Amino acid sequence: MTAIRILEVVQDAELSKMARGILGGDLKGTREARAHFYDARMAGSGGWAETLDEEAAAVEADVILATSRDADTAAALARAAVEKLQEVPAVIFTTPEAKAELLKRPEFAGWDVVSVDEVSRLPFSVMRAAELTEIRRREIKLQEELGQAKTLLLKNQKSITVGRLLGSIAHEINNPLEAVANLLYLAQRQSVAERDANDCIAMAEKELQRVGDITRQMLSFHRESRTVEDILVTGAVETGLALFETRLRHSGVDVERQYRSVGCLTAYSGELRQVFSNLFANSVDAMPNGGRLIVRVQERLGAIPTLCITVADTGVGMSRGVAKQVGELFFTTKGETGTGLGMWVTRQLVEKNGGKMRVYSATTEGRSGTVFRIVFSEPNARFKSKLELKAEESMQLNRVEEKSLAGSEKDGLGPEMMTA
Amino acid sequence: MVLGISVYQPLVIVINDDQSLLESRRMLLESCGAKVSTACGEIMAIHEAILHPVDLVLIDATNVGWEHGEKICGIVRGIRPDQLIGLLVQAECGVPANTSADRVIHRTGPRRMLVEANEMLKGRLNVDLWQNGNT
Repeated sequence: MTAIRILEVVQDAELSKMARGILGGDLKGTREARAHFYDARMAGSGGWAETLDEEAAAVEADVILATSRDADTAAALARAAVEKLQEVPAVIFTTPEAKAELLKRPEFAGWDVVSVDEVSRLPFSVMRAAELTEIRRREIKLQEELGQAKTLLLKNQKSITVGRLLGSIAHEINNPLEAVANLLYLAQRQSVAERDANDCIAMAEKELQRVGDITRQMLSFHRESRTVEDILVTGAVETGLALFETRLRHSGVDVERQYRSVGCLTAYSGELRQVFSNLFANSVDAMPNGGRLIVRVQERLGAIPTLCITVADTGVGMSRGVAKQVGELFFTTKGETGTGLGMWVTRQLVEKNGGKMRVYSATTEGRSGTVFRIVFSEPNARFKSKLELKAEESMQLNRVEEKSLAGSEKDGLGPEMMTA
Repeated sequence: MVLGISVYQPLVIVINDDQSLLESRRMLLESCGAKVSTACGEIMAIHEAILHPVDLVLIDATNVGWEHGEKICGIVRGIRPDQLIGLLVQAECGVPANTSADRVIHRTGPRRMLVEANEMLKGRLNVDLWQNGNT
């Protein structure tokens, strides 16, 4: 038999005695009612509200019982107690007159007010309130578990992305290593002239640098970022593209960069990189026979500044119904090879960083493809436009822009091709 | 008669998706007396194979578009049924169960590749079998 812990906020001793009398025994023979009393009149100079703080924390009450003859006092007691114990409902025990007055007030429409002439109803009210507390606490616990599960899924998805990339990364590393082995073998051979040997060693050195670059990219992808920072969006895009270079090349996918912004987004760098990696992975999967991957970064400086990132592919596309489900937990179009986590995580991370993601897709023959559009806008997201960046930074970043603007002249794939 | 000296320059096509690796293999095989042409990527590889009849085609099992090495093997075999094909396999990845290549060569070092390629070419490469050091 589980006891119901009642925190009684007492203003009237007579009413309190009456309540204790009826709640002191078994409640309908099923649950023992154990009351923990707090007497409002006994409060120190700090006032009863302050004293209630300590009391409330110590009691871990299931129900708050406010007893007072006066409607205003009963209401104030109950309100203060509920404020301290958020998830615990209150039952007000008062006179019929005070009850009538309380029920006239709209804010007390949902409260359980019991008057002395219906005292036999008090155990039921207390039990109902205790059950409500139990449900609320269960909900809170579930929410906490859900939060933990979400965090775990986010972490796992990152590992899955890394796992999927591992094969391609291993080959990316193996290739230059084999080239190094070949070149050193050649350099060692006695028949090779000194100049040729030096050339071989120089080439080998270059290949080793390549290995270093690959491992650095991989590590920066996997590194946990604990603080938000200003991240050059095009830089994060380039990191993602570098990780997928092999897969893109193997699949015959041409990458078209349309960088019209050198803005920095204030976000967790690892999360932003993960967003792009997931989008690129999706695009590559959608284009097994090659195609075009268009990445556009642009900003609009209006009343509400926005930073828009578009990742579009000319892949197989999705139906309107399927496109709508993209981003739902465990929804996948990849059968057994999909986890249904990638796009869910992407959406979560975009929203966490103050952005919104939309998906447009079409399966029309010859015009099929998918467009993922992520919009970060003030005030939910924080970003610095080109104008806001320091002159020094701008100069440095301009180089990235200039390099990429060459590819931005052709604007062949826009949302107009997408019907969804 | 001198054993191990090639009677004529064998023609070898090396197919791989990595330009640097391709170049190093070309240098390696050329240093052993082969005439080497390289093909980087799937379409180019097939094109090359069709254009020039060669003594040996070396294809990476997993390098050309993942698992596509075997696919290219099949395509080359379909076009030239008697073409000698060596499939370069990463030891850790295992040997493909049903390969249409004539021989699987493990990617465990330059010397092994040269020795095995030389065996396939019936000793027409200048590979010093007794060289110390590198494997």
